[in-house]
Amino acid sequence: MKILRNLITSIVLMLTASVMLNAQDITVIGLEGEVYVMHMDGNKKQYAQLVYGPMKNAEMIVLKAGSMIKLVNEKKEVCTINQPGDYSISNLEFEITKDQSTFGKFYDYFHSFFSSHESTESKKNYKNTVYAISRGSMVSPSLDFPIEGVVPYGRLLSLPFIWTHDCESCTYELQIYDYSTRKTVFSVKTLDQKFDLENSDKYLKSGNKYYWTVQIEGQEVDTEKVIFTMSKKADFETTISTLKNDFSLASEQISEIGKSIYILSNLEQSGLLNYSILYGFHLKEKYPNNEDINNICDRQWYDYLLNK
Amino acid sequence: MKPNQHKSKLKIHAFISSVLATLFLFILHHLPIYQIFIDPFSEAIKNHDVMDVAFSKFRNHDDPTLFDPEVFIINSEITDREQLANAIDIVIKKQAAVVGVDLLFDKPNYDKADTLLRAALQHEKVIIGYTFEETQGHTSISSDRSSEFFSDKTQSAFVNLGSNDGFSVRTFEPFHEIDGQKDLAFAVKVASYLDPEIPTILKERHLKKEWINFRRKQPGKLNSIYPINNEGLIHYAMVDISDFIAEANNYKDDYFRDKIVLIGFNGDNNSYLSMQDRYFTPLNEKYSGRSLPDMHGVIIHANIISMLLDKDYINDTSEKYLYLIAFLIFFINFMIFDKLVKKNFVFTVATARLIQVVQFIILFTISVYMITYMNRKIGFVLIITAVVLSFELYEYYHHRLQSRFTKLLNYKRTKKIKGQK
Repeated sequence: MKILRNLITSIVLMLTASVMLNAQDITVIGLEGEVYVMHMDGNKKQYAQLVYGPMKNAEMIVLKAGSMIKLVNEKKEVCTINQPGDYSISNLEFEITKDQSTFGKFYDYFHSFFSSHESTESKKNYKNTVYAISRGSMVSPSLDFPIEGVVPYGRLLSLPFIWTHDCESCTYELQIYDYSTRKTVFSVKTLDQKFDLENSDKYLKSGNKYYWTVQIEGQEVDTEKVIFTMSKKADFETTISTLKNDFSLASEQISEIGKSIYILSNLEQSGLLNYSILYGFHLKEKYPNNEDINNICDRQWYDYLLNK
Repeated sequence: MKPNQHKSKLKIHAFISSVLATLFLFILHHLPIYQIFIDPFSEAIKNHDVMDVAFSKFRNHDDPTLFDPEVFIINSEITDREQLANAIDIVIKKQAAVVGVDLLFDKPNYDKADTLLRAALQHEKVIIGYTFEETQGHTSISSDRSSEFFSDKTQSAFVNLGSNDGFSVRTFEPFHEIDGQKDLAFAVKVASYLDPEIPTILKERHLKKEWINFRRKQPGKLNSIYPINNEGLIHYAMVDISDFIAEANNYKDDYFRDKIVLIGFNGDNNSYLSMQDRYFTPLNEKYSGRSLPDMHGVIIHANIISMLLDKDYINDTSEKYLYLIAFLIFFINFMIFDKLVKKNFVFTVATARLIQVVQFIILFTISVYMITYMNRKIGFVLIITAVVLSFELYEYYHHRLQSRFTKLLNYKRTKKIKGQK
């Protein structure tokens, strides 16, 4: 009988303590970074991202690195946590915020008048707070490829994006947008000035219109935009082989350079400049030591960029 | 002459001198010419106000009760219209009392995003801001406004704020007549959704302009620097729009019930401070000299809203009381200076200046205390001008006018005695 009575008393005490702890009216008044709150749903732990406002039935707070939380209880006491970790609500320590007395504030204010002040004309008054250095050329990156026009869809599933910018330590963000919805379809950060978009057909659909930009992280620079349209079919290889066949029928004795010039100029004349530049990349990869082919391919591309 | 007679004569002279000095002060302040030539002191301190010192140095900004749970701010970042439409829909669905949009949408693209935004803005709980411009006494809606595609069929209110130098914001007009129609300020219209009595209270105060009782600082991690918000205090819940949409499920279905949601620009990313739509306020921790503007427009509106909801208005001291204070200063100083001169101190002028410095400190302390703790603003420049001029005006009266007034008083006294005989 005595054991039963003690057991009931303990349970009642535990419940009361638990209710009292949970009844603490805690409100989130400061929040930065990733902070989660843990609730108990029966025996199951449930985590949710913390938001501003009253925190009800919370058991624990989980703070990730670089996060901060400021809580206030019903007594207007404050608890600030800025170290990562798990914090039990019942163990949080709240304290009254202390403010300097009004007299103290006035004393400090008027006292500051009598502290030694150098004359504004004095050199001693000048502090080394001006950092007279600029971040190099802050012109926007020049978008080199793809250029405006039709871009071959599904070309070997990889599509290069190339830009130039006079900065050695910049982080760039390549962004490709759907032209009609203005929604980002692809975005990546890179330190390079080139990015090969693998599986391009996953992001860029046939026949759709897109535009791409490159932004410099941490810099407010007006960015250039280049609009391009994906071809309706995966026709890059077929277009090139058709031109090759036409040329072979016309003359079989012609050199590789001649063939290349014929295909490149034909593509350019047909308004398929992106095809032509891409074919140039392919030729440069195939004949890395052939200076003539390399020069022809570069010349065509640079001419366009210079006249842009 | 008996000492009592002398004292009474001195009081009469002090009274006459103070009346004349107060009149001089009145004329000086009401001359219908550009005052920089005759009042360079006022012109020089135009960018400063006792309010700046009081609010930035004397108020306790770390008070947890300053956090306003009724106002929730969404930073629009670089405006993505579809995202904005989405955010408005979310807060409306989650029962927000009102959504104030402090953004201009000048060029419509007539695409999907614009159509969605237009539909979202037309909700009865959404208020969009516009600006007005005043030219030669006529007020009209500014040309720098949202396209009719967005503003047509929407509720709108003006976002203009009062500044005496184009940068420092201290006042706002609750009502303004635009194109013949009386319209409400953005903050007034938004706050009236939570407390419909606010426009009536403001009308009953009969003030064309209201001082803004700034209490809450600009939130945001990047703003936790001197002179903006050195202590990193958070007085408003503020989230970036992209985070808000991504984490919308974390907010319960009634999270925004009885809450005001303000959507406005607070910086375009977390990498660098943006100076767009940013102004100087009395909360700037560096209240004199050149400084960084400390508050985005939308937080200023939030401060006005908090002030209106808390009925935390700043009351002006009427000009007639200020002239009465000036009169008392002239009177007291006349008595003090007269004693100093008569005692023939070696350092009479220096002592007089020291007394003026002490008076400056006392009056400044009273002005700061009144506005900080009692929300009562005293026209400090006017009363301090009285202190500054009191010695020179005493000397002028003492050397030039006192003998004439003495003669006049003696003549009247003699006439009165003769009449009695």
